[in-house]
Amino acid sequence: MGSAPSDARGTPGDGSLTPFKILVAGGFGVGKTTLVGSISEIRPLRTEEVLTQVGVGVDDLSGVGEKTTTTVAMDFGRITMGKRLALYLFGTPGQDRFWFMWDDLAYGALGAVILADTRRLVDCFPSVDYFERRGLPFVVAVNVFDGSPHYDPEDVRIALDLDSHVPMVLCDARERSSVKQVLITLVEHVLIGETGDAEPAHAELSPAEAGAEGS
Amino acid sequence: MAEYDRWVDREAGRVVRPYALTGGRTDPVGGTVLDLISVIVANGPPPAAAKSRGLGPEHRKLIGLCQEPMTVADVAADMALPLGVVRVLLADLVQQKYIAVQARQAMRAQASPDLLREVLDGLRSL
Repeated sequence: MGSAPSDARGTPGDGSLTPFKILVAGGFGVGKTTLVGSISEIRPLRTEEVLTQVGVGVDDLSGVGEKTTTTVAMDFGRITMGKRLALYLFGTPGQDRFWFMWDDLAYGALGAVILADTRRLVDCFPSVDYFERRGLPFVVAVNVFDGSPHYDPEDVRIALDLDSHVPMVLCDARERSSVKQVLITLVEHVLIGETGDAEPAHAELSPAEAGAEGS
Repeated sequence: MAEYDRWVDREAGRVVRPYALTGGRTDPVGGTVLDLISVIVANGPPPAAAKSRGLGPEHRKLIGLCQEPMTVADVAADMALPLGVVRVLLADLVQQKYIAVQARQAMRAQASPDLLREVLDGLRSL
């Protein structure tokens, strides 16, 4: 409590705050809020999005009606590590009509966790497509509910048509230790992508595939 | 700090539409949209009302919140205001040099392997 705020100011790389952003995506009701809440202190973050940017004058919202803005609530959690590192988790809005927010959320993000429910795997497709297209590293975490059918992760991989290098883990979004493992898997995956100095956790690319990817 | 409930009536909903706080402006000055985890910090304490006529109560409250480095998302959650509104207000303060934006070290492109290993260590020790 005795630390002076001035210690943390104006000295980048020393006392300053270094935040990282991780997105938590997946279908509506798959457990994103639960996942964020089980590892971080969760807070609501509201946005009041202007739906029609074009044509709305900078100083004038009068007369444009109420339908130009919509309120979206996002889950937002922070994990503070030591004095300067902080990991921010953002649950992406699940409904299709909030796609326009994803670019904002994904900008500069470290990576993403796609939470999957084997009963509704199809809900993951848009997220997988989006992160693949954007080149954002992601892991797929299959949320194992009580009563949800148990599948071999490799079967889920085939069903989602995932590349072999994308890590796939089973998790229980209610369990802190399980969610922690998901995040560790993601950061390891990002690190492998950045440095290439570690073995992929799963199947390796054959030389032919690697060559095809590089060309 | 007092609960931010001045413009909010729990029964009736928000009394003042959020963009009224920005004078109806929906785009930040200068066109620069601050990222959710951009780190911002005030250049000094909130100025006296008489000396800063261009600033509203929300502007001053923001300067007060940013006495320590904060992310935009934290600030928006603390203010209980929509992100878009907070971005417009913060851009005013950045333009008028009440608030500085710290280097965006956390963008993935700049995340060094060493920093990533530090994050991993942090996660493992949770």
